[in-house]
Amino acid sequence: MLDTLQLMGQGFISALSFVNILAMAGGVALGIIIGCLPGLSAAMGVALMLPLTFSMPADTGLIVLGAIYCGAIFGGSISAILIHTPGTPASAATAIEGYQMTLQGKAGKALATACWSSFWGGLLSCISLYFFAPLLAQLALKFMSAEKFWLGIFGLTIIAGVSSKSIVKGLMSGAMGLVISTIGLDPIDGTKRFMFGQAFLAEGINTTCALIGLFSMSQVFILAEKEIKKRAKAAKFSDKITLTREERRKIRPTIIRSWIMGNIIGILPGAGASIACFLGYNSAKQFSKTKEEFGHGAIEGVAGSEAANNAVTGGSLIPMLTLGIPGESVTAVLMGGLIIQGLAPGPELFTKHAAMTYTFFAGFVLVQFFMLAIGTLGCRGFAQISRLSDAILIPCVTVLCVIGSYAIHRNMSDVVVMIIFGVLGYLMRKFDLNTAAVVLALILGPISEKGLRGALRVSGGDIGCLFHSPVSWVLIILSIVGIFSPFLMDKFERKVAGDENVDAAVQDETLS
Amino acid sequence: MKKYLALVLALCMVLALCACGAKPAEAPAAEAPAAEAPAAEAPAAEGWAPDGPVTMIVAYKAGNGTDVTARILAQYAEKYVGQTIVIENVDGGSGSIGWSQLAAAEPDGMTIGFMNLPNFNSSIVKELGTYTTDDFAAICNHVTETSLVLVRADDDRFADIDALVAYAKENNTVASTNGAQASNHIGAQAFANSAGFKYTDIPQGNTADELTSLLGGEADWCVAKVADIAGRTDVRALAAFSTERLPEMPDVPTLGEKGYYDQWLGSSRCIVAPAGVSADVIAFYEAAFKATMEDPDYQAAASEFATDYKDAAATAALIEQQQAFTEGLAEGFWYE
Amino acid sequence: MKMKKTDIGVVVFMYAFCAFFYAYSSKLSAGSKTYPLFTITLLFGLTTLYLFQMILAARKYGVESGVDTVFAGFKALQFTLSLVLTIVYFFLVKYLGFFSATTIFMIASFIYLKVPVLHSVIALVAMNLLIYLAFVQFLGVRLPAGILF
Repeated sequence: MLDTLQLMGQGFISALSFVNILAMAGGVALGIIIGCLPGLSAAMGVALMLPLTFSMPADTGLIVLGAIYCGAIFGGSISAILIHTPGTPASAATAIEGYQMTLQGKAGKALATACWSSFWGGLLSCISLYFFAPLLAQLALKFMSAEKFWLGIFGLTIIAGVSSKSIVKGLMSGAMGLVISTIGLDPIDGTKRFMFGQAFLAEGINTTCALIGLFSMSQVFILAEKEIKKRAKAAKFSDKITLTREERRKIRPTIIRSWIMGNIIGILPGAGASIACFLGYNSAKQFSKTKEEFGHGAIEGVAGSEAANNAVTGGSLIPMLTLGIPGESVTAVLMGGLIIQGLAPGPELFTKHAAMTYTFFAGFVLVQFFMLAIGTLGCRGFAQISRLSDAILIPCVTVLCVIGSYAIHRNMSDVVVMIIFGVLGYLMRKFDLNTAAVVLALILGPISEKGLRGALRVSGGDIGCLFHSPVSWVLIILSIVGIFSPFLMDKFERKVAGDENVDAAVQDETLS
Repeated sequence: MKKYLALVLALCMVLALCACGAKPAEAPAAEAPAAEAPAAEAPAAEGWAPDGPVTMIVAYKAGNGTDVTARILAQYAEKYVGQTIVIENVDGGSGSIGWSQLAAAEPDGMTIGFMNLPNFNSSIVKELGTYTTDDFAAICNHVTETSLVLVRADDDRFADIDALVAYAKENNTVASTNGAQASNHIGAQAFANSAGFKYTDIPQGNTADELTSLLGGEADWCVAKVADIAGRTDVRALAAFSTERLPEMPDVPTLGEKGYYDQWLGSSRCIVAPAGVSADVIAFYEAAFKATMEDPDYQAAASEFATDYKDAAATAALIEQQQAFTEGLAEGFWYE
Repeated sequence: MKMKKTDIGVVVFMYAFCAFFYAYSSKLSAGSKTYPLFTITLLFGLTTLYLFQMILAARKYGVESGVDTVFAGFKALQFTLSLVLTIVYFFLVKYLGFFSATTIFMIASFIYLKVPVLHSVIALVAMNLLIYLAFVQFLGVRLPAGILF
């Protein structure tokens, strides 16, 4: 134990070398820029920087990559908040409340919330990295086909929670997303499904592409249909990137909930930041004392989503480092970097290479502070974007959507998909359908299909295999709670309020 | 106090900007000596040399196994090619998007790319692309990875490959694969066919998830390549899909010597150009990449994966052989 | 809440969506058909559920058009034009190359939306520079090049 503490301390000392500090600052800044541009995901940023780290010492190289990872996950929230364009799928849920805050001239507050909760989410996730890594890594091995199926189902239950206007319409949107998610090669027998003769659809509709269309391009159309407002927002604009003590206190429980969820989601294979942000958002909404604020710029919504997605970063490193199981694409790339450096993931990282590992951990902790500092400083400038007139934003966001969807595969076909989803998203938003539910279904659909069919294949078609493991049961219970909690919470709160009129009004809202 | 804090923050920002600014600058700095080098180590072929940056298409995502090896090769090859090599990731469509783009590229030697066997062949068989093997001209082979039969290290049911076969004949075993009819599925099927047992496959979409499925106990065994298990102690190789024992694991028998599948099986990453390039271009790159793969600096950097240089003729033969093999799988190989 | 007439459109669209995928799925093998059919049925069921809710709402509270609230302040010309411009932009990128297409598209939009010249120039330069530095220079994304740069 004492040895470990000593190693941890030494880790901080070596992480504080000049080169490493430069690596952290540079990595975070770069990550933020990559993250806030649509179409450039954290995985892409890390992958593109990977070759540059070959020539660096192992610890510095890993710190750069870790810094880009954290920075990019946070950076996605900036464009999500300011122009309703999630830079990465991990910030999809942030756009829901964050953009509403921007419309009210509170972009600075939203960015500050994102910054603050990302910082805490990332920092708290280091606790598990330091102290519980080998223990928690075992969780990743408990996640086989059946569990993945239930994880997908659990994720889908959030749709009921994120649907603000009509639950049935939210579920319809989700089901539509599920149908769309079956486009592409069949994951089990490899036959072509709904591909319209297009080879580029073999891996399905690209989630990022659909996300850019559904969130950003549709936003352009929504801006374009209204009379262009001339700097109307500027009057109420405040660029203060600070939170008051009350606000910090208000989001504290949300951050802690999101940290725990994000951390666990990070450990699970196949999940990742894009699911965590929705879970975080949903729980923030369910537990909020001021639920009526949701949909109209709730600070807790931003905090819930951002703390959760940054808590994924620390969590996702755990199975990668201890077992060599990368849970998502970013950690897969990071593992590539580790192997190139001649370091195989596994127990040796904590014994033979412990000095390097703990330097990396310390670097990861320090990166969070750099993220807070650079984020807070940079956001002041970024917030000015929200003062721009819609007339300037419309073409600029269109260009970003096109380049963003093009850059994913360097393919114009993806731009076509993006524009189609843009029109679809516009119509959906006009008619109170839920675009976030479609994105969620696109992410989760393939996970649950593969899980379900894989599990049935192993068991020879016996449905019982879905109910064997305790982990499955935990997820089943969570799913049931997830489905009914919006209804139950309503009932419960109405009992507390004891107001019959409110009762009727809420009932209408949930059913219509 | 606040002032100091602001100062510190400002300093961080400046550092960040410096670091940002420094990175793009680093690349040209690294290229500078490379540009001078060709004078001293002129490539063997006299006839042709690229007059601008060379594009190498990788049909997979940045950070993928092929991408990493390609980038290392590109880094050291610049010295011998005499130009910057830009790796372009054109992923999607199980690789077919990238290969379509490569097949359609101008055959002027400025665009070349990586071809992954047998995934490339599968994409032709599955009709994902409109290209055939004739649309490409082989330059050389870069990496060859042999497939292995793997079980969990602590799985005491399977002491050796014969124990696995005996068990699999009695019980229905489960093997995870990296995708339906993907390379590791082909391997598993070839092994099972030769040993005469049936099994259940669960496609996982990629090798990482395939191994997770094995480690988590869902699958009993699986087939994966040598590089996938580099440094791992939690899995055990029972046999190799090779005609001779692998030098890096002399204790692991080949499937052939145990009386099962006796051909080589695995994956290869070849470097190819679009068909129609002149022989000079092929000769130029063949020599340049040969020199690169023999470069001690490259070998030090690439020690973790199996570099395997083959010349243009041998590579072309390999592509055809793999194509014939993959097409042959259509009949009678996969059971219902 | 009154039933909105526009929701009839939503329901019709969803049924059409189901029908299209259902018809398409008949070409698939039994194994790969099951799951898509399940999702289609799910969507079909939910849409039908919504249809019932609509009918209930219509009986209880009456019917409203919905078009006037959904499309309040809708500027048809401006909307159509930006949609058309986006599509034209897409083809320009394909044939003229990314940067020239972007410049043309942005200038056209700015003129139509009456953005002051100074603001237009700054936005134009900033966007092109941002994309050039971030995507081309730093990330090495090769953008579509056409006749012009």
